[in-house]
Amino acid sequence: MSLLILILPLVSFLITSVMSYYVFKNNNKVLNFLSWLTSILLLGVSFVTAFFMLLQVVKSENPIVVHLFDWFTSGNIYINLSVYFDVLTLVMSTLVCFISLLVHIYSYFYMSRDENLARFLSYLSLFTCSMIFLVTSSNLMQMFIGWEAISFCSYLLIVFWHNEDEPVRASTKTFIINRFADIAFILAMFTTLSLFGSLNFVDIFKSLPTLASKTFSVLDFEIPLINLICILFTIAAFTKSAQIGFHIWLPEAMEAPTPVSALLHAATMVTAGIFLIVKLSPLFEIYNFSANIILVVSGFTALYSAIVACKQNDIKKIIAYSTISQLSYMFLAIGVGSYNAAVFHLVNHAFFKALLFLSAGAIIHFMSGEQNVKKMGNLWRKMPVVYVCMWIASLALIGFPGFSGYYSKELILDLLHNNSDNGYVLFAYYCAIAGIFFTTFYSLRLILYVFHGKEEEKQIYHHNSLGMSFILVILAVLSVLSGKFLFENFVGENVISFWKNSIFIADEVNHNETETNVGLYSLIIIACSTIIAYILYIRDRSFVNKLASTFPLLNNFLFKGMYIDWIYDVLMVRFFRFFSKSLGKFDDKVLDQYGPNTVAGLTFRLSKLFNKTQNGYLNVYAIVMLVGFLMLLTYCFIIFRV
Amino acid sequence: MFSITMLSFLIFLPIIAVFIILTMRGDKGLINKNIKYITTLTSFIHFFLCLYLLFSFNKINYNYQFVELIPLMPSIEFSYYLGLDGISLIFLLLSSFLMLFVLATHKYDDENSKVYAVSMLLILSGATGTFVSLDILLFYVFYEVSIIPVFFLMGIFGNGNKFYATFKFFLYTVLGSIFMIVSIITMIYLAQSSSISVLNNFVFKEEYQLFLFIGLFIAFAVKSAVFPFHTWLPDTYNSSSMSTNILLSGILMKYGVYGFIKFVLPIFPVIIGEYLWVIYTLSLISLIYAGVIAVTQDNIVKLFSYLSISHMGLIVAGLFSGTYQGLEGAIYQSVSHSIFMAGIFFSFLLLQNRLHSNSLKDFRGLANVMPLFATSFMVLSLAAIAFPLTNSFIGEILLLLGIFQNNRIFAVLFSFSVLISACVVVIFNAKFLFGKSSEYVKHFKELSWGELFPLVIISFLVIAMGVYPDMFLDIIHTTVNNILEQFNNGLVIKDGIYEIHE
Repeated sequence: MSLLILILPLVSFLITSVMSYYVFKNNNKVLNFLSWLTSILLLGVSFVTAFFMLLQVVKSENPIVVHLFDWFTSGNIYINLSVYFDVLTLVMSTLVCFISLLVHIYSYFYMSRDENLARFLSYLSLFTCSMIFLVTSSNLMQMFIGWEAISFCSYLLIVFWHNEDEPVRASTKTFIINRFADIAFILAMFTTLSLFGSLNFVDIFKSLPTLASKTFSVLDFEIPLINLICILFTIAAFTKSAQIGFHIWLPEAMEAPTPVSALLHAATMVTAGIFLIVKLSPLFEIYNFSANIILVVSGFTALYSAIVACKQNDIKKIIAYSTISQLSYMFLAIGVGSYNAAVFHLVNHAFFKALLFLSAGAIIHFMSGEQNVKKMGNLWRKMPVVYVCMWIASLALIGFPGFSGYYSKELILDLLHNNSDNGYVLFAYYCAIAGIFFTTFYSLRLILYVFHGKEEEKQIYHHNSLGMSFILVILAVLSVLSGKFLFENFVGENVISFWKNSIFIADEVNHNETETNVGLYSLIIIACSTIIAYILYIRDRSFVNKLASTFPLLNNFLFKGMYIDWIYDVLMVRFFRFFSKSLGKFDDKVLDQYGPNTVAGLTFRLSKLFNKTQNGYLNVYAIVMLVGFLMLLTYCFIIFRV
Repeated sequence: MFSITMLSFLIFLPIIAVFIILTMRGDKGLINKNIKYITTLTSFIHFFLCLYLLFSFNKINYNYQFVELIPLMPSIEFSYYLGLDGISLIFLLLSSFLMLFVLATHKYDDENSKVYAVSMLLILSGATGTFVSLDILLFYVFYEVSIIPVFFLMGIFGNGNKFYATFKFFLYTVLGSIFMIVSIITMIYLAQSSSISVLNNFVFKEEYQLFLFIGLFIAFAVKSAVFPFHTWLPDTYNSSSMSTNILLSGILMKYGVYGFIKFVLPIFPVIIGEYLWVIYTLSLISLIYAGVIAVTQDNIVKLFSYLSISHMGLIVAGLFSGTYQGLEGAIYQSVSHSIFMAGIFFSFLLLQNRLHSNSLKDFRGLANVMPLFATSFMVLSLAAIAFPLTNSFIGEILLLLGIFQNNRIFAVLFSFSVLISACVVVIFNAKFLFGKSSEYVKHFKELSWGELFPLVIISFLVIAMGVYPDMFLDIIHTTVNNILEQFNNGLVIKDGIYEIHE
């Protein structure tokens, strides 16, 4: 029964991928529709199962474990595959299934004219399946399967329109950068294995108290092995969850069809990094070394990506950078040791980010493929539902009181404020506060550009789709309500009875009842930002352009994402290409030339030399014989001293 | 009684088929048809007998099984000595399967099909002998026998600059063989026996060990294309036909790994321990150097040959780590590598049937016209980057784990293989499968079901071995244990003697 959650998306993948082949062959519209129906049916059942299992597990004491089979054994290493359902796992599974179901339904309306719909749905199902596999795994090696599988699925989805060059380039980049994280993951796994002797989460947490103090020494420093493990896992998580330095793949991933972005940003892929750390929370709790790194990096990322988002023109890129910044807020919650707050924000974020992306999809659909916000305008009359949804999503994103984002974001800011006795947290706190300013700014900028202002001429508009609006409304309702509904269980009074042992919950962090003024500060900041945005984008837009032309360097600096992408391109890609070509030349021109070719040449020359002696003249032979005989004789004289 | 002559039967079965083929006279078309039946039948029988061996093989038995012993030269204890252990069995199965794959998918429609069939069957016979002989001299004989037909295959069925490539291959092979025969003769002379079981337990004198080790190491390093003995490989692959490549990468290249495991690891533990860093460095260079070169290759065959060198680097390093996981990983990865490379080369063969070219520029954007091909190639390329749930993931993770247990710093360096192979394959796929179709590709037809079937089998194997690896790992557990015991005992004994000398 519990396996249905995992198996149904897989079945959906298999059925739709077979159908997609026949769609390719016959270009059959009916099959497309059938594949859509199948996949949403299967995913729907999967979602319902997940939801009821969540209710069941919350009531009962023990997690549900289903052993699948032994994967492999080698020496003292034994890896099995089993599915592990505790509260955390099921919260994630339910979320993934739900968002995925909505995205599946939405895709039909979004891609109704695309003949490859079945293929698209099959990839989406596989993506869902991989993510559920990741969250339900019972050991690290099994998790690694899901970990890789999601990056492969996102690769497939980004390269969905494989006929064009941009998606191909973007997918390659995404896959390779994510592969870098896998090195860290693998090494972390090995270290874990050598420390704990097992990769099972249950075993690791059981033997944690006895082994936590084990150290290894580097240059006379005694470093706890746990710290090493945590750092490696943090790197892996940073890459998947796109923190600064590792984030360059996420804006590129926008090449995928828009529903993919909704799924990828809301529930699958980018949340995997957060989930990994939350899952391993007991490990991360022991020392605050990695927590400090997380605080600094994520604090900086929160600010960085919010600033960069203010300067982007592509509607999807703006939202992508906003995801990076919101992920940083989750990391900040982790940094101060409140893992449940991170999950809380993750869930809230999933709803409003899915809403944002699907609204953006509706806009792009309506504008027949136009993604530049500057070329849109005054759309609010034409698509009122999307307009309202966009406002709701943006308010939730900003953290406006009453919307879901408010509950989780305010909580994270409170936590940062209350724990700001050391420099790292203080830094993160200021970054987070400043981030709110820019978050408000770019959200409003997006809305003002798209829905207000002047209308571009000569635009071809599509009709609004009722199906799309339906999905948007569901998500909009959730974006308003999820914060209030989940608060008690996720972070409020029922914390312990809800999460049980699935997350490490620190007592002192959550029972901090001191009243803070953080809420007031952020409201003031939001107000300031709103006023500025209003002045810049409603009153007089020419001032923005004036600003851009007076500071062209700064303008470009922000537009290009502070040149981080460019640095990677020069340092890594071009250097690597050059290195590769020159090594190839070395292999051909040096190793071969001085290796086998020289030997061959020498042999050839020697044989020519000897050929000359075999010229057939008797007199030459006689002389050679004579000389040889004399030499032999001399040799004998010398040797035997006759 | 049946099982006693089983291994000999496996060796001589292809040779009988060779004689039958050689005596054929008459109509060309008829001959080709008959050759097809005979070779396919022979390889089928061979494969099913190997499967029979697999099922009647006792996985927990410590000793060699199906042993056959006929003394030939009592003075040096040279004998016709055959037997199976887990490692031999798995390599035997592999080579039998690949040969079946190659022979059953060949078309036999040209004039040279006789030569083709004869060479292939001789290689099969030689490979069988190589993997089952328990006598080092016998091993050497079979080893050489199976290499000679490759020259014919290269010379007759090759393309491009095939004579240069054949010559290069010959040169390297001879180089390896000379070193190997010198070492083997010295070993036999010193131990007064050529049987493996004697040699494994014989303690060679300190001053000979290094010399013997270097000889054998170079011989097998040439075969497994370890830097700097690798330059034969890209040229050879590039100018051979694809079915030859399947054999070269699937069977002949694995001779190196097999030789390392059987003849180097148990005999020279002390030397290996002492010079492990040299071996690690060489294999690390192979891994990174070849991987980096592969990224910008625009010849599809050369690209995958460099990638093979890179993979082999990791295999060799893991093998010499002397850990349980390293050794099992090396064996498992060798088998996996053979299988997915067979699939990849077979895919290229299908493409070359449509357009005879090795250039990446000609094959672009295949996914637009051939989705089935693209799907199966995607599965194979996932295997090439050691993606979880494909067979090579198990191999790679075990190899890295083995190295990690032995040397942490090298393990970190070696783990970059994860990234490098991904770079190579993903960048390759971006051009090969995706993007706009090239002029030629636009007219390509999708695979027929007959063409797809072999690819499906290979893809199925790739995934099956990745999902349920215990099926094969179970076979080698005991043997690997055995070899490691010898390796570690050797370390202890030889250390003891060393201390006494001082």
